[in-house]
Amino acid sequence: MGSLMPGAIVEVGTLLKVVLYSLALGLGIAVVFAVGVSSANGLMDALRERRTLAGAAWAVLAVACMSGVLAAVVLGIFVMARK
Amino acid sequence: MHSTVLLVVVVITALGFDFTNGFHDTANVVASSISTHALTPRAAIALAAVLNFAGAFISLKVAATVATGIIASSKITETILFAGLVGAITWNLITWFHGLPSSSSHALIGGVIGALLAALGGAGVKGQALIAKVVVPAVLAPLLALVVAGCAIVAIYRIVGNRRPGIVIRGFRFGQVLSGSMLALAHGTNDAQKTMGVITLALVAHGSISPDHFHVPTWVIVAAAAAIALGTYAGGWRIIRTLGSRIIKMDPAQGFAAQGVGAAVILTSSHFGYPLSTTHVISGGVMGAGAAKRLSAVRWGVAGNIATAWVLTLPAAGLFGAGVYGLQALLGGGLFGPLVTFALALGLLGRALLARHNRLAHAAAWARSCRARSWRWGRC
Repeated sequence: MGSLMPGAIVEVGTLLKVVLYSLALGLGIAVVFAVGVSSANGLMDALRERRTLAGAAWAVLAVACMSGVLAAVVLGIFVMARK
Repeated sequence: MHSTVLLVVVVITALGFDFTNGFHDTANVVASSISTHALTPRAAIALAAVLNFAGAFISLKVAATVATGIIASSKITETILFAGLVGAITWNLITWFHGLPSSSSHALIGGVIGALLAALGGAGVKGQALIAKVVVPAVLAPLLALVVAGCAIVAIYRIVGNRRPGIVIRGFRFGQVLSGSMLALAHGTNDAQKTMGVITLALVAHGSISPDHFHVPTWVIVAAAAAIALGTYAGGWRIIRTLGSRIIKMDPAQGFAAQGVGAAVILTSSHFGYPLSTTHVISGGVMGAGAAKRLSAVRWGVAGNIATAWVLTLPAAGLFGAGVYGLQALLGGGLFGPLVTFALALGLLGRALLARHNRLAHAAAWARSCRARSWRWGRC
């Protein structure tokens, strides 16, 4: 099976990229989705209290966040198809 | 003629492995959605089965390279593949029986390596590739998912912490359906391709496909997709219970953190050509989402049992693979050994299923008689 030198076997650069990108993407998607949910909550509150301007702002934020999440889903399918 | 019968046995066994892979890994995709009531169990499993089936058609690139990086594919014979597959199925069934989520891919690699070592010694195994592609990712996957899911749940709680629970819970349940769907699709793409790769390797060993024009036939794609989808639909309830409720008591935000982060980590690592086990990532994500809320929220005893199963998967599946290869060699070369082993395995499986059926029938009869007695005498 040959001699094993861990440094030569594992590509540390790729490994670091996997860690950093996973952290950024995982955390990014969670934060964007949570902001979207929070915005939807804010929108409901604004509508109940008839605050139209605040409601519109929350709606824009919620739609932007959900678009971001959907874009991540499309990107994920693209990655699956390419690999 | 002998060789064709052997090929049929290997193909059926490979599809059997694909089926166990499906029901063993159903939990990765549906456990958190079921435990937080994002989906009903039947709906979750049906969705996962359909997406696993669809996922198998998305890409075929992994099928062409499966196992070839770790073992010398030119040295593979149908007998070695058969022994490796039986070893992997055996380990999958053992871990399923104990409700432990372990990697089916590692079981397959372990089984084939074990059979190869028994047949040829160390000559056919690329040790460095084994460490780089299997051992290091196996250590990295759960730790990475644990840390990222932990950070994610802390961020989520900070953002939605002071919001009304109703919309938040519904929102994260929707997020779980979305992230679970992505996981199911990714699982179908990754894992069905492994079986396609194994069947194609058997076809190459048989001489039906030239090694210079390696391609996956359409019937292999359809059969592998159907087997993994059926396995997923059968549902490995023991592992679903472990992952969904025995490690932590999950809320929808934690479920989303584990699944969403899991999908992100799996797809990112695939993009960089560093595939990680879905089982390791999701289990690590669930532990991270629980530990970040409160360390004592995680049942570390259960987590320890799971980690032990992960460590044992490669050597144990390897031992089973080597054992089956040894049994075949003992029974004489050619077709007789694999056929007897195949019949023996089918017999044992049939007996286990019959025993389970009898146990369930007995329990149902006892429940009926109990109801009748309590109706007559007010007690059971």
